[in-house]
Amino acid sequence: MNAQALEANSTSVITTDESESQAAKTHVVIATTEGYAFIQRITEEDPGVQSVICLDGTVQDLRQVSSGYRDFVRRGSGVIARDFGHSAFRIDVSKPIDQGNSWQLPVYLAHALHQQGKLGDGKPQRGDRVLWATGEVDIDLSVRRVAGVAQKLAHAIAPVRELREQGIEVQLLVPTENMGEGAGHAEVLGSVSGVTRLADVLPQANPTLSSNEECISSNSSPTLSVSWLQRRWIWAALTAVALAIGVAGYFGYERLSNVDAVDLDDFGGRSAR
Amino acid sequence: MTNKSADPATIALASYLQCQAALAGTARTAPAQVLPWALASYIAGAEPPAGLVDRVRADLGLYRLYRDLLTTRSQAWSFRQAAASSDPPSDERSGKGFRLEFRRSRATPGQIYATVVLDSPNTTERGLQVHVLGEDALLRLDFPAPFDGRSQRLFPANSPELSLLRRIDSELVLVTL
Repeated sequence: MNAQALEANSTSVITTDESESQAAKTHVVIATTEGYAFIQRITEEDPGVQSVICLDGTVQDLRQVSSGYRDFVRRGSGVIARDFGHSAFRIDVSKPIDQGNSWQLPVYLAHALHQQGKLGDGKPQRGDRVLWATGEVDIDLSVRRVAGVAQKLAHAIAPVRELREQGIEVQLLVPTENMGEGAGHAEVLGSVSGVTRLADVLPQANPTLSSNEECISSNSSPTLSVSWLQRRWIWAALTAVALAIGVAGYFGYERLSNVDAVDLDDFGGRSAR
Repeated sequence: MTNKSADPATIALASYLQCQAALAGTARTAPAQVLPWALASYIAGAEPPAGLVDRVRADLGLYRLYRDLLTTRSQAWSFRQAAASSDPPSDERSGKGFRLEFRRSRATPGQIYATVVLDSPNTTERGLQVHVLGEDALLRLDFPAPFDGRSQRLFPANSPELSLLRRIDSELVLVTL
């Protein structure tokens, strides 16, 4: 894949192809300046528990990043509880991860995959897919630049090659603002894509549609969260149609036929006719 | 755990109490080898010298000194209650200024979260230590700096530290580092 911002060549990380989603899992890697760490699982804990990131299923709390993760989950300061309808999570990762906020993009992606039942366990098999990511996510789900991207890409070369040799697809995601850093490493890796907004890779991620009325209590069942996302996706579609009609009304009917002509490809991405 | 030294006032108090105990004849053994400031430093968060905790357990005078020093640094306290050895471990301990909640992890049922909930949330980013004074055991446990007035640790369910923490016949003393 050409290393372009994903707006121009969008590939959804959560597919709409149900047959593909049945067998293959998508694993998420947090790229670090020391190496990398697989996200092994996400668990919805008792609401009285503080959100935490633990090492490899042990009782070892990665405290430096756990405090940041708590902020990332919490309503008001973060986006996870707002977007996924639960207030306390535990994440297990295969190796220690850095301080800073660059884990936020892979963690958000993992939450989205977990909600869909598609998150892998950090042990990819042939036919699975791996998302290798780094980036900071703000309250509007924009992806911001982070430090150390060149170093992270350098650390990815050997393990990514090994995964691909095993028949595992690997896609690397970095903030668009960081594209160009570690260009040599990116060229060796291939499939390095820039992400500007989470909506570039997750069609249903749209912070402008979140509302307090839709926030789910921490005791709600997972099925309510799924219908909540579905309602957001419907509102996104209706908003897009309304905008299209408005644009057509301004520019005339002929322009409408072009604006309206957006197909979803087999991977849920957008492409023009 | 970084080495921490007690503040001078605590060291002075430790020395004073040690001298009082010696003069009153309440110290059963000569505690000369256990310097009062080593005990004060331990309460302030420093690593204890080898054998300190065992000596405090064995020597009534030192034990009393230890408790007296804890009162000068404590933020919250849960006193010992009567309990039978057959009593199940409690899901919650409460005391003056805090409560301690225990919840089983849904991710790994063999692990339990212990959460200190402060009545007056700590506005600084300083960690906590919980001193556990049991019938036949002394323990000091580090907890991270409170977040929204809560500080949490994860334990294996069969951990002896957790077991002591949950026993209502053990005394709990919270110290802010």
